[in-house]
Amino acid sequence: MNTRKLNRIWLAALALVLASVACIGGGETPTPITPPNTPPTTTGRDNLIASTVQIYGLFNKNGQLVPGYVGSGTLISADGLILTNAHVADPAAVGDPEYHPDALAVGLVQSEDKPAVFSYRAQVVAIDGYLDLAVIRIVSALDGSGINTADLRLPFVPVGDSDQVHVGDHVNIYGFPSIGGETITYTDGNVSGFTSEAQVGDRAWIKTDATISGGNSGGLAANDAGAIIGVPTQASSGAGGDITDCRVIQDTNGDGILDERDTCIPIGGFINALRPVNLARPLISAAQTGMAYTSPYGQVGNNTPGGGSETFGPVTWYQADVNCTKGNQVNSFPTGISAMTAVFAFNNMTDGQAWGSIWTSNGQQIYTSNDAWDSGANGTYSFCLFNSKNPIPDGNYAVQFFVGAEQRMLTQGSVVVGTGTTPPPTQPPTTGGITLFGTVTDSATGRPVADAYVFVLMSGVNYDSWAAANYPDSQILMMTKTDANGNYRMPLTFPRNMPFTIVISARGYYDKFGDNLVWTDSDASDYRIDAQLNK
Amino acid sequence: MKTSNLSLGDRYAEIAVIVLTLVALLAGWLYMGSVESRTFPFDANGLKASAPAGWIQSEPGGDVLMQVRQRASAGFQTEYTVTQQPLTAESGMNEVVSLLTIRYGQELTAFRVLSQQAVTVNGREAYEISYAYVEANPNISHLDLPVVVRGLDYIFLNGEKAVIVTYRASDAEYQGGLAAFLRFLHSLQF
Repeated sequence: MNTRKLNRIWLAALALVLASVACIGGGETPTPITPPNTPPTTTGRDNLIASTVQIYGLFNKNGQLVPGYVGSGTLISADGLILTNAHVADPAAVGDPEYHPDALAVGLVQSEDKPAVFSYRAQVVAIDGYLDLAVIRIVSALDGSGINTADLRLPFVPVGDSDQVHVGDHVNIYGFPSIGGETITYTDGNVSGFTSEAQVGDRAWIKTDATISGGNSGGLAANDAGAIIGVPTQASSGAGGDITDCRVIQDTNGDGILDERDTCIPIGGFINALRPVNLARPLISAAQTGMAYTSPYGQVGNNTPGGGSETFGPVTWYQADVNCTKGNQVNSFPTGISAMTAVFAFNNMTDGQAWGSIWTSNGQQIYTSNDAWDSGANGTYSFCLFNSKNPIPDGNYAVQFFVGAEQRMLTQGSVVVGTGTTPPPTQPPTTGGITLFGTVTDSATGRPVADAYVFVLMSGVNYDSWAAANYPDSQILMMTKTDANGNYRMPLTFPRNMPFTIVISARGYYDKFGDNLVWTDSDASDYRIDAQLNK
Repeated sequence: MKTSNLSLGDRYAEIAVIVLTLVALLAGWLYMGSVESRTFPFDANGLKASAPAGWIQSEPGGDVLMQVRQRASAGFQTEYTVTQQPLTAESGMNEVVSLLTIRYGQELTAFRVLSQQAVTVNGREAYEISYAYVEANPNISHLDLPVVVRGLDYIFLNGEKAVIVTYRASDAEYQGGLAAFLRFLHSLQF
């Protein structure tokens, strides 16, 4: 064998080694959503501990975010998705609007015998008040400074298959109980059975013989393979029950004393039920893809006034004078009127609950109201729209009345003043159409983006063609702007089963859009699209 | 080849200068040490301590029982702070620690907990948190570089209050000032 040949062999071997190293080191590991088949190991237990997080709901108090309530969660992706209870992510979603947090603080376990270290803020990306499940996402450092979530590389627990859980199976529960310390706690148990619910099915709950104290809510229930199979959940929470225990930990009124005058923390009682993780899969999928999630299970507390059972009747129109004194019922108004009154019947309202209206003229928002209800449970309500004693211009007027912080629309109506105007060239919105609403936030800080524009383009127009034509108004079907809290609600509905492009745009941010989205008959009329804008 | 032509007297004179210089340096070092360790008795708000003399004392207010800062013309001023926060009967040490780190995480840039452990100080149970953060002059027209600050907190549960004793110094000054802070810590009575 001559020297040149030997060199070639060495070079080939070297290339082979380099190629092998490149193959091993190249590419990112995909996020697994399947349970591992390996039995639990010390490393697996360490991963379960490291993936369990403590969550504090923070409330704005004199410009500072102070902790209000506490719960647990589980990291389910390396970039910071966390599965928890809805009543931990946002108690308002399960009927406790007074506990709607301004931010969520996430604490990670650095050492199992030490308190969690709070490093991040998170925000809700998918929530289901009925199931009492939510997915939140880490969005910034605790001081609000931006982070690149792709670089977080956090520990996480793979999502298991709760349909494969059987009676007698061992279950490992991790969380941060509110009673007896704030370090991570392990509770050992077995699956003792299942509980059905009419709306959810036979496996609405996994029962366990483990007694889990409050504060573990939203934590981790894992099988022996190290995959999450359920979320420890106070059973009453998902059914609109009251928070059973409440504890003050922060001097929220600043008087130097912790007492009943401070905001208390709902910590739940004792838990012996797990929400199966398979029920959370649609929320996880929505969170991973950025799509909006709408609960198929309806609202929480359907039998409670103010808890989702409110109804408004159809809107009828009445004449009104400059002082809004109600006159006769009409189907349209002549040119030159100074006021008009929308009237509707209402039932099951609760004084103090949030409600409001959105008025539009020819598709443009002209007036909004947001108030606390003060007209009792049942009756008839008259809402007068006037123009400061000036004539109301001719046009096609529409109004929507809604309740709740989520602006759940209960009724709407429309009326023509004078000659009205020509409707848009595409199919006009119908009462059976889709109403978009949602929240626009800064992706880095999680803070709301005010005055962001939300456009629905004419059917068939996509973002690129609209931009190429220099954003002509004639291709806009409807539009609205976000309020100071980043919330928006489209003033009109648009039809189902037709493609529409949605564009969200704000000064200083890149546009966000979805081309040719189609809403089918199975989609909810009120459809939430939240957006996180990038600078 | 040259040879030394110093007289014996000259040699003695040189040695004397060296000795005098060393004595002066030693005296200066001892004087500096005595000045640095000089203290004044602090007694207010139910708190007694031997606080460093010559440091700037801030007006207590709110939850702050005491705060002193080292005089420095530039950079981060080393500081000792004693604060209190209310507790309920159910409040545990770990809860206080969590609330404190949440507050620091919001207030301090790039806040990091370096270590935490339960300790005993003068026979009392306490909790020690070591941390770091970055302090930058908010006036961007100043060309000061941001400073890495090291912090050390000792938390004591005292009836219906938690008392938190804090030491903060720039990373460069932290180790040098630690012994003096620990003397201050051990002098505390409340």
